[in-house]
Amino acid sequence: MTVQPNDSLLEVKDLQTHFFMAEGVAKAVDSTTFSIGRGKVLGVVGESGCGKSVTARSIMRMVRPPGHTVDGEILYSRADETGQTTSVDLLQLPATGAEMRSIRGGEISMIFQEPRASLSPVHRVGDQITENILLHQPVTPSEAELIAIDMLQQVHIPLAEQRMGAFAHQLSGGMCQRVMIAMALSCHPNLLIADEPTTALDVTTEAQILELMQGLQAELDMAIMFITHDLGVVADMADEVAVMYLGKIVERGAAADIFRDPKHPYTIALLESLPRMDQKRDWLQTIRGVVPDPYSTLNGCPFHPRCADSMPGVCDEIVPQPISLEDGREVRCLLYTEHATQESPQLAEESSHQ
Amino acid sequence: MREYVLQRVLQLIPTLILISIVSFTIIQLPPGDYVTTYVANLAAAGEEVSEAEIEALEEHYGLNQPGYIQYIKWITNFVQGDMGLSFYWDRPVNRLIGERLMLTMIMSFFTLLFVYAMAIPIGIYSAVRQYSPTDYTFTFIGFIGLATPNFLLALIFMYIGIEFFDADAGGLFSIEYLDAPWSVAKIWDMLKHMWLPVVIVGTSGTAGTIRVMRATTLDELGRPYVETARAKGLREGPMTMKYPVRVALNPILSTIGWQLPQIVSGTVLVALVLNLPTTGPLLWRALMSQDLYLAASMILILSSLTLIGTLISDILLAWVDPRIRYGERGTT
Repeated sequence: MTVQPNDSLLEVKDLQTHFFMAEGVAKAVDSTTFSIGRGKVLGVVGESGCGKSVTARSIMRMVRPPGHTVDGEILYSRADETGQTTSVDLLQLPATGAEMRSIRGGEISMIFQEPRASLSPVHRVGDQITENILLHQPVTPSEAELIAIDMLQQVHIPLAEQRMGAFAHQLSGGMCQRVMIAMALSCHPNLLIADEPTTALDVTTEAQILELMQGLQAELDMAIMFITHDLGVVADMADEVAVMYLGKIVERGAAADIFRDPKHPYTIALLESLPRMDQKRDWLQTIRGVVPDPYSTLNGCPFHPRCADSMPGVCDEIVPQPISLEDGREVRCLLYTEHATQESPQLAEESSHQ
Repeated sequence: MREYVLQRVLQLIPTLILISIVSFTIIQLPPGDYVTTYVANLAAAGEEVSEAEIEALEEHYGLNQPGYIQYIKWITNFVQGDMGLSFYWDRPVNRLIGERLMLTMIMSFFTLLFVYAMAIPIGIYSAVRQYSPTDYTFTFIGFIGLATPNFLLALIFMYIGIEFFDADAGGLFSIEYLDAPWSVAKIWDMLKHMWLPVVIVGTSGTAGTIRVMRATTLDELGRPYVETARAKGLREGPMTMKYPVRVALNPILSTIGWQLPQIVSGTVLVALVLNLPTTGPLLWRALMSQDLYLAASMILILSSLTLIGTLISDILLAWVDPRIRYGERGTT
């Protein structure tokens, strides 16, 4: 444990979570580095299977076999008994040990993609919320019940007291996600990991849930790691954005910067594939090719087979490392290195201003 | 909940009527009746039976009347508690069945208990430790248990009992208690004899239930709500019992209904081999000799037990699973 001077709540360094399958080793998360500031919202974006959810579960220490977090550091800052802020490497804690269990659910909590399936079909929602409260707070069952009712009111569930006795199948998807949020926030976590919380909901409900999350985030001053494949949602919610591709973060920086001026060809392609109101197009732009299967061992940059600006002889040979740009941005692309100069004068010019 | 139970009980009535008709009809389906079988047996033994005697016999047993009249007579008496006369034993069916039925029910109860007590913990363990050596071992033993016929197991156990332990594996009572009135000592003696047939009859059920329990638990372990529970910071063991296992038990509860008839019919051969005073051998003999009222009454009683078993498991299921309880008025 070391004293952490800066204001970051969670620092993930070189995280590697691999799945050891009969077909080979799938590097679901491959040397991923990022940090989340206290009270900030980090949006994690990427296609299906890029490692977003596995990153989240690695932080929660909930990766199930055959998956294993094989390397890296997850430094989490928490107040110790004396009130001093210390940082703990979550990967050094036993995943099912008492300390990790008190962090999980108490200080870092999580909500999921399918709200109804995420609630037990045979337990009342009230019992599921009070269970969490009793686990992490020194309160009596009746006090826990009051806290739970209060939480349900905070997430704008009408008739909260009656809803305590409801079962998941009696509630709509949006209501279930509100219950999940109430449950996750019932112990005032420092960090909420939201794994595509609105993907399964219709657009109107999605907007309501996002608004609710924004309101609660400001109110409770917690950080959110918001995982999504929806760039619109990220633009709405996030302070910072990390774009993931095949287990690696290819670009990260302030949300405004990334949307205004994307650097990585993948981010550029993602933004171009969004439908736009101000341009009439017959076809939506797509990214050519498909995500390679996770067992393949590509040489060079993992994105080069699909990249519009791929430099033959460079991108298929050299593995790009993260490169720091201005404004605390970072990009993992060879176009921003000295390799680009001889190949592509136009891009060299673009990268010269760094 | 009360409406649900009432509704289910009312549904039983037409089913029972249908079963009584079917069981009565099926026994009459083979050509001839008890008297023909009886006369054929006498003729085979070299005895002559005159036409008049046959008619007298048919008259005596009521077999000269059309089938539906026989049925109505039988069923009217049946609901009043009189199940008619057994031709073969020449005794009232009530007295023949009485004790055997009770013993069968006791044995079925213990067999069910044995099946669940063995299969549920093993199934859970196999699922939680999937592909571990223990899981493979139980899977292997389970398949052997499924594949071995019960009567063969009974023979093997009898052989082992007699050869190595000098014990008599047959029967449910020691000789001194055979005709003794019921007492604590007799019950204790019965329990000492009963464990072996219970294990033999329960083996295949246990093996099957392990597979079901393992599969459903594996299914549930991968559900999102398990991840939610884990994300709360619960201990893995209690979490597994409270959430996935709790849900995985539902299909097990709903199989009580069909476990019961399986056990009852499974005991027939075992009961013959082990010489058990249960309903199995009696039913077998009744069917062989076309002993109409005895066979029909027993089939009706056993089917009723099955239906009651199903009813109990349905009620249990509605009790533990709110999705079924509120199925009719699910709100969104």
